[in-house]
Amino acid sequence: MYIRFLFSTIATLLFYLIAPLAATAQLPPWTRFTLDNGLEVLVVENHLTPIATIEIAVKNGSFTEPPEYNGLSHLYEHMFFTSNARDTTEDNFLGRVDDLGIVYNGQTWEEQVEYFFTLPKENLEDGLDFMATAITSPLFKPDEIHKQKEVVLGEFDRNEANPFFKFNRKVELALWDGWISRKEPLGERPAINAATREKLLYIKGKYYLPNNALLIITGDVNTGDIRRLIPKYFLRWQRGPNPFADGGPKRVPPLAKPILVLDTVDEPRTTVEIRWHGPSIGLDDKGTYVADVFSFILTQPEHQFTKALQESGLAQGLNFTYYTQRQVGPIKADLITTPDHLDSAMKVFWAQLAKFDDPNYYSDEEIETAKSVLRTQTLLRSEKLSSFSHELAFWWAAAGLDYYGHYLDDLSKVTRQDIADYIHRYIKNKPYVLGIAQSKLGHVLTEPSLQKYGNPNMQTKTEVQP
Amino acid sequence: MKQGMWFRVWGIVGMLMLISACGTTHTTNFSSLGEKHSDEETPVSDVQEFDAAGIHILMRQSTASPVVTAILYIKGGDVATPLDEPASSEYFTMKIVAASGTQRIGKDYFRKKLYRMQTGIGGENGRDYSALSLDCIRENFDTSWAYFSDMIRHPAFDSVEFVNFKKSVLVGLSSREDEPGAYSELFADSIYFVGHPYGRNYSIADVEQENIPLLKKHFSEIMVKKRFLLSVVGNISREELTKKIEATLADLPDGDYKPIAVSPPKKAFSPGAYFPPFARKLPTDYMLAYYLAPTKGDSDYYAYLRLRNFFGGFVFNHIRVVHNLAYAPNVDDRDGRTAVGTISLQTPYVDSAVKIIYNDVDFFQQNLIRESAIHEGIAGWATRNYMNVETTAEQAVSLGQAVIETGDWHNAFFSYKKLGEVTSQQIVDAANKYLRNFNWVIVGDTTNVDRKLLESR
Repeated sequence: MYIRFLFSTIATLLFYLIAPLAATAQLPPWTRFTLDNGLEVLVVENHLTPIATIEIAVKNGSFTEPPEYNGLSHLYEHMFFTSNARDTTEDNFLGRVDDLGIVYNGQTWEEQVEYFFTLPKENLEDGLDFMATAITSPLFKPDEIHKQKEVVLGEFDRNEANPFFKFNRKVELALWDGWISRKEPLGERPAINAATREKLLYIKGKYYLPNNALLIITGDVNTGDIRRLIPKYFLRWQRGPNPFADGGPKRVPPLAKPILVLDTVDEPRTTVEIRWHGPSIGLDDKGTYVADVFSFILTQPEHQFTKALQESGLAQGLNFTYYTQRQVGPIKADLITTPDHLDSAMKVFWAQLAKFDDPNYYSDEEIETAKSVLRTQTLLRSEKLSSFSHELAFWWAAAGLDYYGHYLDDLSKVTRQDIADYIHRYIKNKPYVLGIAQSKLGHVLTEPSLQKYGNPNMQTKTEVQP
Repeated sequence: MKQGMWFRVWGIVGMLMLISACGTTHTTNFSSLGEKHSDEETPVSDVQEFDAAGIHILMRQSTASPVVTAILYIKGGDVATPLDEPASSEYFTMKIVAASGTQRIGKDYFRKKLYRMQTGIGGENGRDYSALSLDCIRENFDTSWAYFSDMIRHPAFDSVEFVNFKKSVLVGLSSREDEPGAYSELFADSIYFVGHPYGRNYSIADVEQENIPLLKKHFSEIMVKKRFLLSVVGNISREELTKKIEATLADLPDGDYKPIAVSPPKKAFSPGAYFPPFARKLPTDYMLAYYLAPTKGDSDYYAYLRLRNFFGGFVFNHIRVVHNLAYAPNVDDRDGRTAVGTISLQTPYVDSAVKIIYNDVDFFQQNLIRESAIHEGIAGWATRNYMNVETTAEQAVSLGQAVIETGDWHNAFFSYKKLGEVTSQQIVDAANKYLRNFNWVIVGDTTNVDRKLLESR
């Protein structure tokens, strides 16, 4: 026992000894500059592997989509990988991909669309030329639009085949109400079917501008070479009017009252999703990283939230997260339980929530552990450069690179008062959406209502979404 | 927070499972020529190889990466387990050591601190080697190494972990014959490697014999410096690493280790067809073929890689796209000191599928591939391979694996140049040398299956 105590003490001392060092560790250094046409460029050098990644991010995505355009940012993303002014057929495009050894893909999110090429470093200049050509001169041939509509709808089909697709959509619909198109990058079938060349050209003209984009180069590259090469290929991309000069799309209005969403799924377990409107970048930047710290307190294996719900056996799966967004980031709690444990699990969940602002609900050590885990996970995600570029693109669009650059420092400054403010402003006694997906195989819920399953400290008349 | 968290701790455990060659196939392809490589042939020249306190070290320093990975390879693996010990000894030992904390640091405290640092410590067994791994960010390396080295020297062998793990393994073993895919692989292993060092698979009887004193004995036998290879990648200098090893691992015994000879199994030189009974009636037949493949150290490895790429494409195209006989026919390899090529598919039309596969075999054995076709797509292949070794953990795994399996760390890195030098004639030669002596296992309804056809190549 003595030896164990001694070693523990040494280990604890070691931790505090290294703590000041920890505060100095930072994300990989990047070089940032802007071309005359407004294109921001970010370069991250790392010579561990002889490949480079070229990524372009554009502030497009579902937040720019009214219902009649919902899903078209995604269709546009697919069209990028077809014909352009130089490679005038999809086959030519793919042949060039093959010749340059490019591994490519694209991603469409709520607040950004990303295009990325990873290739051998020897082919970097050709890859830059290829990326510049593809982003500036898509042809949008009608036959290719038709083909890509089928591909995108196929992607929709595959998502729809997920047993939780319908349930998740219903929860999202309740959460975002009339603003749902702004939060669904996958879009809606009718809008995708009705896509035209003219609509894609409208998107190109409005959003695909150098002053609304970020170019990221990571990997085995030389920053000096990049500074020389980028203007050669990307200055031909012409600046346009700021698409968000008028302040951009309106933010989603706050939820007015709690809402219950019920569904059944072909799955033996019961899934519960609880959602709140969380902080937005631009309105409450501090709230966004405080939200991250609080989520990482709750999800620690030793914290009472996890112990009361998961270790007790009430929940087989449990999560609590915040998703950073400029246009209202959702706070999400998810429980996977069994039909017979649902009642108890919900009671325990709301009892835990009632204690969120109790000063004894989490210890100082748990706050510091949350900060430490967040910092470390952020650093770990910066290691694989072919995916770190996606991380940079996300933060650029959602929060700005200055926010991301200070993120680790800002985390370390979060206080108990900040956490209490966040809980009072966004969670405790605030309207929420409670979604329950019952198992088709389990018993049917009797009297499903907010009175029975909702927050007992916020009694309201039940409104069940169809 | 961005959506889609990445849990690194599981990442390295998964990687070690992939490299452990204990029944998992994978498709990572690296440069392989056995002769000395010049630096021009590989993109990496800054790997250091040295001894510290009697332990052989491979080290690549990267100042750019925030992560340090250290993998202690323990040569021998399952094949070196003495016959009077249960075949599952290495498996149990690695798992229980990594899960138990140390004699000085209790399991709960150990886990709590690792969680706080997000440090991953894991243990995996393999046929030819096992590994204990450490993966952490640089600023936590000192503390993490203290925990890791203490686990190596004074593991706790926690009895609760042992009991729980034993239960879960027994459940897994009792159900492994229920799933036809896993069962066909298990059966193919037992047939193809009969009488071979790789043929010793653990059974329920082995697991039931396991107990903590046995694990302690096994651990003390294998933890000798002569068996060790420590592969480290990250922002650490040779001097710092040497000091750490001297301060923490120097007093481990030198011991003795002579590798067991592993050559291709006898079954690799004659065709065979086996139809094991299965408890349930299946809607389709599960087909799995084993054949001899070159190891990474063989001179014709690159030619074979290119052949496998073409052959796999032909098989997929003809069986799936043209004839729609199976959804996912696949040609793959399993690395090791002797390597196995595999063909797997599920179809009720066994004879038709085999005829198509053998037509494809004939094609590659009898026809020269156009040189330009050989070179198409090579650059993309190189990119994908390098994307598989972007992290310190991936590099530490690859470096150690290359040294143990081929004797040369250069083989950890894919050589674009070597793949580009493959000729049409080398591909024909590889097809004639390797695409033969198929040993088939068919699980399902084999009433009308033509055994002679299966055994004809």
